[in-house]
Amino acid sequence: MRKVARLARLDPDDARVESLRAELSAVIGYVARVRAVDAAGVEPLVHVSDEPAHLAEDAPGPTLPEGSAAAMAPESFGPYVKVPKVLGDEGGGA
Amino acid sequence: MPLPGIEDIKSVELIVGMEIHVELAARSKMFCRSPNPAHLAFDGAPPNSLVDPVVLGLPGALPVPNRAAVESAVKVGLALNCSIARRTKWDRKSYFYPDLPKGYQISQYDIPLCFDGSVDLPGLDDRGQPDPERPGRRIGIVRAHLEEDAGKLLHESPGGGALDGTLADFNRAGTPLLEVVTQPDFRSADEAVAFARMLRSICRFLGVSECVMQKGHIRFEPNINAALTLRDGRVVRTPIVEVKNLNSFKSLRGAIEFEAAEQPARWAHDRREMGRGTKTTRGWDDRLERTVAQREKEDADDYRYFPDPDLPAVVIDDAWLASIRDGLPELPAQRESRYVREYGLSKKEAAALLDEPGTCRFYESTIEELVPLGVAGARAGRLAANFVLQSGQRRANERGVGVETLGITPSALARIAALREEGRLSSQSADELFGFMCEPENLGMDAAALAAARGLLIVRDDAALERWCDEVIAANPKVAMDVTSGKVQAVGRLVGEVMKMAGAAADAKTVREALLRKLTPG
Repeated sequence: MRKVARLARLDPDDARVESLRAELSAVIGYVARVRAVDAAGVEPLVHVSDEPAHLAEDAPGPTLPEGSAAAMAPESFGPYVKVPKVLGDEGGGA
Repeated sequence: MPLPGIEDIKSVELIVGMEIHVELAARSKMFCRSPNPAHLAFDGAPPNSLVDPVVLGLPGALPVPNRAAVESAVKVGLALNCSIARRTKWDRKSYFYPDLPKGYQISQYDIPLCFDGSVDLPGLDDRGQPDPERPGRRIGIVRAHLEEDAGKLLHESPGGGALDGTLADFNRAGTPLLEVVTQPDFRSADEAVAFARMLRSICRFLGVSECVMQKGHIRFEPNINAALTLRDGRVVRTPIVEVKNLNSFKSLRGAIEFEAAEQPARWAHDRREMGRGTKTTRGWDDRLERTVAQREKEDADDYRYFPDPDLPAVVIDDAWLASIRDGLPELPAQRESRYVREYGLSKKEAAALLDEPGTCRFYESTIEELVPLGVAGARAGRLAANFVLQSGQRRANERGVGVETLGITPSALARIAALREEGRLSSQSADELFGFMCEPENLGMDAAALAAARGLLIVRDDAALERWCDEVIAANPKVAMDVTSGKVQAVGRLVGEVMKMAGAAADAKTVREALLRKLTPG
């Protein structure tokens, strides 16, 4: 529970961890019932729709007015969104 | 003092695999129509100006894949001899970081767009230069998949100076990104750099990315370890080190060479071997020229991939794939061998012409323009190469631009080359005329007319030439005899004498021909 909470950047107290444990177990238990189905030879479902993705033409469209991103953020610095200090390296992705 | 334990190592084999990220230069972003800063038209846009609800992950915003980005990725995949997935999907890679507005990156997990490819690296000499005498190496391509780039974070205020927080600019967020993953097939830094150069060149010739290194359009992440053969016969493998975000060939080479030297020493010190959970991430310090440990983010690799419910599968049907395949231009490696085979250029000359796609296009246009002027085939290829690599490259280097932007057009250069071929321009005058034709006021001028106006054309006075030759032969009987008896190189002295008499009105090539005609039988 603690690990899942940290991945979601949540910091539940001990009591909440216990109640979340019960709630999450119930959810996972419910989903796990799908295992009862014999899925041998069934291809994994990529998407609920069989319809292939519509692809957009490569033409730039409208952007938000300048300053919007900063204006929407709880904190800003000029045109930038300001966040609490983080590590100097890149994120886990890209 | 040698490290204790290092004497246990008999030999070291370096093992490197690479992950390379290429920002695709589509006009709009990967999953929305915000302009893409990796396209030159939108480069340098003010912070947070290339954003829309999809980029910022605002509630209700839905992604739509960009057809051009998919097509660009397929082109690279085909160039790397990959199989192309006919039905591919998108997955969410979740992690919390302020450069990622949605809290996940849309990527491809188990069905990458391109997979199972390979490219052949040429053999390399000890300085890392291509050497056809040495065996090359086949590099396996595990996959090349599409994803979106993250935003940029600033840890200092834009003007410099300390800051009590971190600043986020989401212009780059959503830029189409192609991640190419190789097998751990490289055995030296030279090979890894050669591949990096090759991939960059392929992407630029395909026109899918500008690949400007300084702008981070192409970024390298080598995974490095070593197989150590010990004196007791055992072979141990050092833990893998991944060096993140290198954006120059110099730092790529530096990071690999540093790790190649460091890992055996590290092993001698701590005896740690490759195994589950031993991989570490390091950065490259350009100033210290060494890799530095990066603080590991706990659970950083727990990305909880799952199919993105917002995005249906992308289907690449036969017709689309065939049209992409048919539209592929000739790739740099093929061009290089064609230049060598058809035009008789050296590999070095061919590589120099292929360094910049713009210069290469200029070169090929010049050859085409030479054909109606009566110069074709190998001769045209050689002549154009000489001008582009000498008169052109010298001026281009002086101005820090490409030959194609000097101002001279391929048709003007073809005209100069043809005049030279006809023996109507000395090599020095041809170079001078090249310079004139680069000047804006001469744009569109006829090169021959300009040459005539500037007194650069060789005056064809065959009678005078005959007379000069006869006089010089008479004055140098011994040298003339040498030439006649087969020492053809001795003719150079006679050519020099005739040139002294003729001044600018003759060219050495014509004089040499006239002298040899007179002195050699047949």
